Amino acid sequence: MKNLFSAISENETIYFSLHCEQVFQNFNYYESNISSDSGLGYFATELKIDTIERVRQAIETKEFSYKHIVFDFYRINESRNASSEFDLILNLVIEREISISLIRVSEKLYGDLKLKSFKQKNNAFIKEHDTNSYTDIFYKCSKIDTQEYDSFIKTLFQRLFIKRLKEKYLEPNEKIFSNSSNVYLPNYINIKRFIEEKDLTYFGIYLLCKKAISDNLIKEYYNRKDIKKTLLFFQSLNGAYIASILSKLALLDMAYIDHIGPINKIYRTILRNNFDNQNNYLIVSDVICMGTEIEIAKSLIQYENSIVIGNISIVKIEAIKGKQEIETCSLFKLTKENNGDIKYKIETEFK
Amino acid sequence: MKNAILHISDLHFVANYELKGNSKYDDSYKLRFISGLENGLSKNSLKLKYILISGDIANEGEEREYNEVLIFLNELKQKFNIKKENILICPGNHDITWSALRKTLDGMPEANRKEAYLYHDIKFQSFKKFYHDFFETKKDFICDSAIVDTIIDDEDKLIILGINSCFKESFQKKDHIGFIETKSLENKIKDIFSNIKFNDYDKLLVMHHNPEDFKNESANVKNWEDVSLILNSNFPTTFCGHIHSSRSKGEIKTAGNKYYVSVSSFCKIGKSIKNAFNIIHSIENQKHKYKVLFYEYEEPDSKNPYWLHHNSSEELDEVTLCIKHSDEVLNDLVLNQDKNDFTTLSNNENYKDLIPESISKLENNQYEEYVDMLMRLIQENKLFKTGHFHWSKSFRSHGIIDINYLISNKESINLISHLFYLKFLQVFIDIKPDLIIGIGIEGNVLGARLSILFPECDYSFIPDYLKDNDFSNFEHTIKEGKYKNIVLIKDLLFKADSLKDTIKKEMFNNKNIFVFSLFYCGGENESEIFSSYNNVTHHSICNKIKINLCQHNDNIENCTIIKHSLDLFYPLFSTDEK
Repeated sequence: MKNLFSAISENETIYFSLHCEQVFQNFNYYESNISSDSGLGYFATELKIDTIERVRQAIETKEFSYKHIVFDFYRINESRNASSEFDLILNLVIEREISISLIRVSEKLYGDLKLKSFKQKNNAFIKEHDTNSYTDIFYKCSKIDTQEYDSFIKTLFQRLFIKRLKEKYLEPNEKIFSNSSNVYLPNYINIKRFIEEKDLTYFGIYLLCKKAISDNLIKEYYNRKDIKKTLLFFQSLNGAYIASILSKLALLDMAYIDHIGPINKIYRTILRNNFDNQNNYLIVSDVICMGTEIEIAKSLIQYENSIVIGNISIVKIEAIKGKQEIETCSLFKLTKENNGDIKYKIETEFK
Repeated sequence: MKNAILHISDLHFVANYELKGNSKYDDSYKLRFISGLENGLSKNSLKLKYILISGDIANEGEEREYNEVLIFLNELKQKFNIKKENILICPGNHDITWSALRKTLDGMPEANRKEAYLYHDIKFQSFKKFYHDFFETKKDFICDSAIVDTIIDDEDKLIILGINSCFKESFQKKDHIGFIETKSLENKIKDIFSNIKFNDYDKLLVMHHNPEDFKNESANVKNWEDVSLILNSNFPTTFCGHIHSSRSKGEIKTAGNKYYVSVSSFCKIGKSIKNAFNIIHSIENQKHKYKVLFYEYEEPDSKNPYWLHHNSSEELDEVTLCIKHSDEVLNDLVLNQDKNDFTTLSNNENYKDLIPESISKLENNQYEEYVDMLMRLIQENKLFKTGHFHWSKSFRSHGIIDINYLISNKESINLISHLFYLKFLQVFIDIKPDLIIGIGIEGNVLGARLSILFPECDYSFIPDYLKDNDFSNFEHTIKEGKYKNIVLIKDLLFKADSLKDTIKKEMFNNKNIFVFSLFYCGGENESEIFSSYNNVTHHSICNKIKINLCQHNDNIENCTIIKHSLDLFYPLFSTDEK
């Protein structure tokens, strides 16, 4: 689904994160000042009519053949003037006999989208979650595990990612010798391909942002008073792509180092300007294998009197267990336990 | 020629109206509206004298949204030669700057907080500024008063009173009601009626909320009974907005001796929404009687939308209001079955000629404003560095732009991405790009943003110097012919040379290549730099900075940098032989 950012599916079920859809939709609006909801990136909380319309258009297509839809309203707090458009989706799913789950609906949103009338008209099953102050509504769903949504989404995403890793992202490495670490890499994880395939990219980076926030590597926007500025640091093309989107989502500045040449004199000056403020840096990478590149970046940043607070990556390969010097946050952790089918290898002369 | 009143409401302008959003408003919509209005006026031999806007001018009460409103209203004013004192603008609940109000309350200890709606100066801060900017020194908006404005016209013997019905509105749900502060209203009414000359004047009221909306209780004015007592029977007719109804016509409600004339939204998107405007004019030789003409925006096949004056024989398309003696009104509802009374722009021969020129002019104005912002950013942050830089043997310049800063800073990258977006809209009118490729780190940072703005396009990225054996599987698919229109995103171009090795690659053969660069700093005409390639066009975002190149082309050894080994090298980062 090309025009959607969060849709992930398995068998006959399709999942949408309305918050993810909205925050990427908000990229359309130019904000000279980050002051309104649409300029708040990941921290936006309002679901707007154009996002609902885009989702509806996707469901309306002939190709849409799923039997169950999950709409996740996590982090959406309100939706002004959009109930009529959302009503069209609900009518559409009833007409097509699709079962639908509306999960993590806030009290305000429940009113804004006029979900009470949907429940009443269609005898939908409603589940109240008083402790978390949200509501779930199910229409025509018999067996739904609703307790651990984050875990459900994470597991679904990971299953899809592993499948894609085995089929597409993992490629044989012709050069074998790793430039950055003194090991042989008979195969490598092609994150460029992950980016080009697009269908898991946006939601993946959204989930990565979410995780970095819950891991406290990225602070909630409104809790940033009186703390040091955090910047995203990257040093590769893949890192540039990931950092560019993360920067817009998490409202963070970036810093980077590119190819060598006279301009490095300038870059150095700019970096020094940043470092002089003793900022915090989050290193953004594609794949962390032995961690050599992180160490180089860390040394450079520390040399300039700043601090590395962590590393964000798409894949972290846990080649060595033990205490980590840098806190890491990754979308997918490749471990000894889950590498069985994937067959990622690191070798030395000793095998 | 009689004088006419235009009544519009609920504009909900968003910033950068050409972007996707809640609004249909764009340049062509505006031109259709102006043309529809012109036709409506000329058919009825009317001259537009007053404009009434009953609230929700902006969508989120943000300053940048009002900037769009300012442009629109100034154009409208100029086009129809309306005096500013004859324009009346009331605030709606969307004219409250929720973000500012929320931020103020968030930053305040709970014990010190008053009710959210009481922070009038904060909640109306953007509206007030807009009001001041538009009316300049002629009018000012008082945030906590019921009275927004009064138009008194001795020629037409007309008083129009603008009321703020959002006194109790805040971002909180419980405050989402119409409410009018009564003390200032009472004083104003006393003031008006202390002047005996106004006794015979027709009196109209304008406000955002419908005083008594029978269908939607939450939309009406909660203290309307109190307000009615103050108004007595002196203002029997109220013009309002707020509800984006499915039909604009038939939205005249009578309640006792009063009439509430509402108009739907102006340019909203939504399945159940009909956008509309009303023209009101007095009826010749009939004292105190006014006719309301309803216009709706019709989109029968979405290709040829137009503003339609109702002509259905089954329904009312006009009503006559008796402003002074309200009990006569029900007898005065008249049918107009003039079936030729269409205002169809698609039939207007001038339409096609009108659109392109006007649109491009307006878009260019806005685009240039953003380019100026970019130039200011460069100037203020001293991002242009002079010097003599050798990037490679063939590329040596007498200056650089600190693109690193522009790309790294979250505000400037937002501005630049938006400029690229606008440029795309200008370039891709008849054809659509199917693949975007970011070149180098900077091109990739920009390309990543554009890939989200154009999700229907595929996306990839390549390094600045693409070696033949660097081809990924994806690049092979380019070669196989899946894509026809390919966009290359680059940070800076001096001349075609820096891209020639890339575009010469086999994968780009027989493709239309659109090179977009943030800066073009070369001296030649930028549209001609790729003239030796049949399939390549170049579009720069900003071409205002020109940088000289090192002149020692034939004998580079004479260049001071080379001669005295002054070229800088910082080996810590290098693994590249270059």
